[in-house]
Amino acid sequence: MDGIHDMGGMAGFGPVDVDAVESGHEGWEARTQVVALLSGGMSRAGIEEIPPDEYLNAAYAERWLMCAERRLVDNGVLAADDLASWSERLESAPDTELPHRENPESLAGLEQLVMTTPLMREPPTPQFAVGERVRVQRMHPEEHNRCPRYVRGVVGEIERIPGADYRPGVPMSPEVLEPVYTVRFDSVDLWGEQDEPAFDLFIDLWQSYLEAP
Amino acid sequence: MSSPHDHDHDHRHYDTPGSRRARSHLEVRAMALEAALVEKGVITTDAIDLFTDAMEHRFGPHHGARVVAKAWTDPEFKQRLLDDGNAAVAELGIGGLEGNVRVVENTDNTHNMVVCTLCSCYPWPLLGLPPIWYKSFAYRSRAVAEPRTVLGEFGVELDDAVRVRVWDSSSEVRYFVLPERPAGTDGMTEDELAALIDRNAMIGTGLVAAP
Repeated sequence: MDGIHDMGGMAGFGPVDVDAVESGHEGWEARTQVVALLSGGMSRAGIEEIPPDEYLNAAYAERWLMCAERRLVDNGVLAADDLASWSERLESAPDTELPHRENPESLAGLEQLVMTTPLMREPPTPQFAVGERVRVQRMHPEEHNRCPRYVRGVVGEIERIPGADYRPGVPMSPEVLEPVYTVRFDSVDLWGEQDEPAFDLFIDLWQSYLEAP
Repeated sequence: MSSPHDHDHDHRHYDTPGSRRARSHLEVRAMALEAALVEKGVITTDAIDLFTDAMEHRFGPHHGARVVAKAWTDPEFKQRLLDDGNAAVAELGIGGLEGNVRVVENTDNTHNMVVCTLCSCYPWPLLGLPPIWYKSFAYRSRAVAEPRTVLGEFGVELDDAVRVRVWDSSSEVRYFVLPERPAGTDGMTEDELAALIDRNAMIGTGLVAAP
């Protein structure tokens, strides 16, 4: 989906607030992200489906929360009433203890999961070679994708093939395990001549996003 | 690992700059989500604690700084780091979720900086959770279009002859910048060097200053 999340090249957000580093509530933010991840409530597609006005008015961890609330109810994991009744209890009685549940047998597996680096797969025979010129396809996908608008239609050069991964936004199957390419673009091809000196932009793109120039 | 009960009072306060909702409302919603999921047995408190502790404490820029300091003092390690970042950082016991890393090197004619325009992908094991500015709309929108102007906002001025390379993290690869070693650091130990290196230098929005 070509949503508000695809921000590369947009204007109007002002200067970067370089001093905004810690919120002071990292524990809360991390915990919310973890709850969303472990419960299956988080997905990039779900975040991208947040309506644009809500997306722009929410902070980062807040979007994970919104996504999880919506998905878990939509998927029938929770009932909307579960969230509403807990919110009501916690509002009216702030000292209410949260439920506590442990499963020590699962911890070794979780420890392994959190401390294991997810490596990419070996690519099936790549269609393009390092050094080859490629054009990013014009597209307007309804599904979740990882091909930002600002590179579409532009010609770049394959710099590296880091591995293979499943095409985002479609059901996972061997047919959609594709080579992923690191593609280099010249900033002049992306943005035209600018006041700044030209620079290189590198981005990783799935094979099905690319075509011969 | 700490006891799960240590966290009981940490999550009484949810507050995030940038949000325009009432803080207490967000806090309550996040707590309600955890409560409902644990009550139903979808997730367990000890699993939440394990992951949160990793993201907040076991991952972090102290690891990234160790990697950089070792690369500055051990040319063979540096080569391995640039060739296969995952294997090299694993030698130091570093790795984990969101940690499929590629290391890109700053030189006297190349400056790298990392962004994720679509969300906020970031090498968690090496740098922890991202700073707020990295997740901001201003950084996500502008780093790929006017990197030098953005760098100027961080106080980084580069000679026009330096080629800027911007890495937009769109796949599972997480980019990490190996900054240049500053002058005047000959003879410093790895620990002394690591203390000079801050997070921005490893994202590419900072340089390492001479001591």
